[in-house]
Amino acid sequence: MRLNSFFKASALVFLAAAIPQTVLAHAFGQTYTLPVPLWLFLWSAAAAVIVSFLIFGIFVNKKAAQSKPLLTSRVINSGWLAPARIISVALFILTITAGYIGSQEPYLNFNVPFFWLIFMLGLTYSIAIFGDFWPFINPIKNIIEWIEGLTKTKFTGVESYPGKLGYYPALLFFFFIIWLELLSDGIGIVPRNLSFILITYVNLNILFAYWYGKEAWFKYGEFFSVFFRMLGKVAPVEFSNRRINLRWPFSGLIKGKADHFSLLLFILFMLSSTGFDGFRETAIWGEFVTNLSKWLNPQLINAICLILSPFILLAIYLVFIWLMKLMAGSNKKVGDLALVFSFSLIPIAVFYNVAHYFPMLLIQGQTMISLVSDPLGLGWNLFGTADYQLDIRIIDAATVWYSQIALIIIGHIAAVYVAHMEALQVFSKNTLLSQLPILGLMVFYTVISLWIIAQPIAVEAAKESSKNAEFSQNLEGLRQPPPPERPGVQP
Amino acid sequence: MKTRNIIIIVLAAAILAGAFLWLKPKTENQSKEPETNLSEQKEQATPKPQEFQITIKENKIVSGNSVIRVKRDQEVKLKVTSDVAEELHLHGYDKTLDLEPNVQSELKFMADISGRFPLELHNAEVEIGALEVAPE
Repeated sequence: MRLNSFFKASALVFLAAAIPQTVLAHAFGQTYTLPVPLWLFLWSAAAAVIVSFLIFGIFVNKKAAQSKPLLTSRVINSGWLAPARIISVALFILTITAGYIGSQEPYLNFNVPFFWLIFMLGLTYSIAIFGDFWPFINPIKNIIEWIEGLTKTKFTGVESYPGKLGYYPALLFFFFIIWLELLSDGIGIVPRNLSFILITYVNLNILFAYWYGKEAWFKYGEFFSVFFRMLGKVAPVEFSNRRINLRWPFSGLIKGKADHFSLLLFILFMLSSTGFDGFRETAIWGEFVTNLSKWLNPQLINAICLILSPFILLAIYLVFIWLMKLMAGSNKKVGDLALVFSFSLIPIAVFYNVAHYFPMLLIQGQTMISLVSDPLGLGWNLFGTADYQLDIRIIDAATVWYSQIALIIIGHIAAVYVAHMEALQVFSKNTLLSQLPILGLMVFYTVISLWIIAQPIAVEAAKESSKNAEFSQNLEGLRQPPPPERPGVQP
Repeated sequence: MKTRNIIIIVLAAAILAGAFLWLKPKTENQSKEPETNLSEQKEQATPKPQEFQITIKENKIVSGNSVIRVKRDQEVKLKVTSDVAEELHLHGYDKTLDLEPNVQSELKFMADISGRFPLELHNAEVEIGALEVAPE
C-alpha cells in the first residue's frame, strides 16, 4: 500500500518534471568544436592506411603472440576498498538527493553534469586508463552486499540466468541511456527525472540480481558492468582475483573473445552510438531528416536510425569477416570468427568516443568547479568557487583537431594490432592474406569516424534549435554574473 | 630484421610528416610584407574589420551567409537587419545585439577564440546561423 503510493508519487513527479521541461535540449550544450578541415581529413585517412600496412609489415613474421607475462602483479590492499565503496555510495546518494531537493535547472544542479560528464565520460576514460575498477565501487553492488549483510540472505539467484538472454539486458539499457542523452528532448537533463531514472535503474538491478544471482547479473545484465569491463580491456591495468596486474596496454583485448552474439552488438553500439551523435549534427544528416520529415516524425527517424546503427556496422563487419574467412581458407563459421575478432573493435570505439567527447568534458566539465561549492543551486559557496565562469579558451580549435586525429589514429593502430594478433591465433595458414580484409575493415571504420568529424555542421532547423539553444543558453548563464539570489558574494 | 623495421617506421613517419606540411595551408601573414608607404603602414596597423551583412525575415537569414567564416584575431563587424524587434545572441563569445524592426544594427568584436559559435535569435529561440573562426 505504502509502496504503491510511493510509486504513484514518483510517477507524478516524473511526469510533472518531464512535461514542462521538454523545451530543454539534449543532454549537453555546445562545445564550439569546428569540423576538421578537408586537408587534415585526407591526410589522416591516408595516415590510417599507411600505418595499417606498417603494422602489418612489422608484425607479419611474428609467431602467434604468447600471452605476455604480466609486468608486475600485486595483491590489492583491501584497506583501500572500504573508503572507495563508501565514497561511491555517498556520491550516488548525493546525486539522487540533489536531483530531488536541488534546483531544477540542469546547470545549477550537481547531479546532471556529474552524471553525464564526470560519470559517463570521466569515469569511462579513467577506466580505459586505470583498468576496470568498477566492480569495487559499483554502488549497486555495494548496496546489494549491505542488504545481504543486513538480511542474511545471499543473492545467489532464484533462477539461473537464461543463457539465451546473453548481454541483451545490458544492451537494452545502453540503447535507453543513449536515447536519453541524445534524443529525449532533454528529459535526461532535468535533475528530478535523472534521479528518478537512476533510482529505478538501481532498484531494477537489485531485483534482477536477486532473481538471477548477482554473479550472473553483473556479468550479463547490468549495463555499466558490461560497458566498463569492455573498456577495462584496453587498460594497462587488470584486476583479477584480488590482485592488481600491470600489463601491456591493449593486451587484454587479445585474450578471450565475445562469448555471445549480443556482446558483439554491444561493442558495435559503443562505436555506432558515438558515430550517430557526431553524424546527426552534420549538414548532410540535417538534409536527410528534413527530407524524410514529410513522412515521419524527426524524433522517430532519429530513434530508428540510432537503433539501426549497430546493425549497419554489423553488416559491414560480417562482410569483411566473410572475406577474411575466404582468403584464409578457413573452415570456421563466419559467426564464430565474428565473435573472435569483436574485441579488436573496442580500441576504435573507445578512442573515437574520447575524440568526440573530450572537448565537451573539458569545457562543460568546468561546471563542476562551481557546482562543488553550490551542488544544489541554492546560492551556497562552500569552497568559494561558486562563481567560477566557464573558460572556453582553454582549447583552441586547432588543438582539438590534432588531438582528435591523433586519438582516432592511435585507436586504429591498436585495433589493427589486436586483430592481427587474433588472426595469428585463429588461422593456421594464410595469415598474410587473411589480414587484408580485417585491415580494410579497420580502415573503413576509422575513415568513417574521421569523415564524420570533418563534416560541416548544420545550422539547425528552427524547431530543433529552439530546444538546443535553451540549454546552451542556460549553460552560458553560468558565465554571466551570478543570479541575484546570491547576496553578499563578492567576485 | 630489427633495423629493417626501424627504417620502415622512420620512412613512413617522414612521408607522413612531409605530406602533413605539404597539405597544411600556409598562414598568410600580410603584416610581414615589406612596407614602402608610411600611410599604408598606418592602415595596416589598424586592419579594417571584416564586414558581414545579414538580413533576417521571419526568423531566417534571407540575405547574407548563414555561416560566417573568418580567421582568428580578425575584427568582425556584423550589420544585421531584422523585420521584427529581436535580440541576436552570439554563443561562446556571449555577445548580444538588440535589433529594431528594419533598422540596421552593428556588432563589432574581435574574433579571438577559434571554434564554431551559433547565432541565435533570443526571442524566437531559433538558431539562424553560426560564426566559424578558423585557428590562425
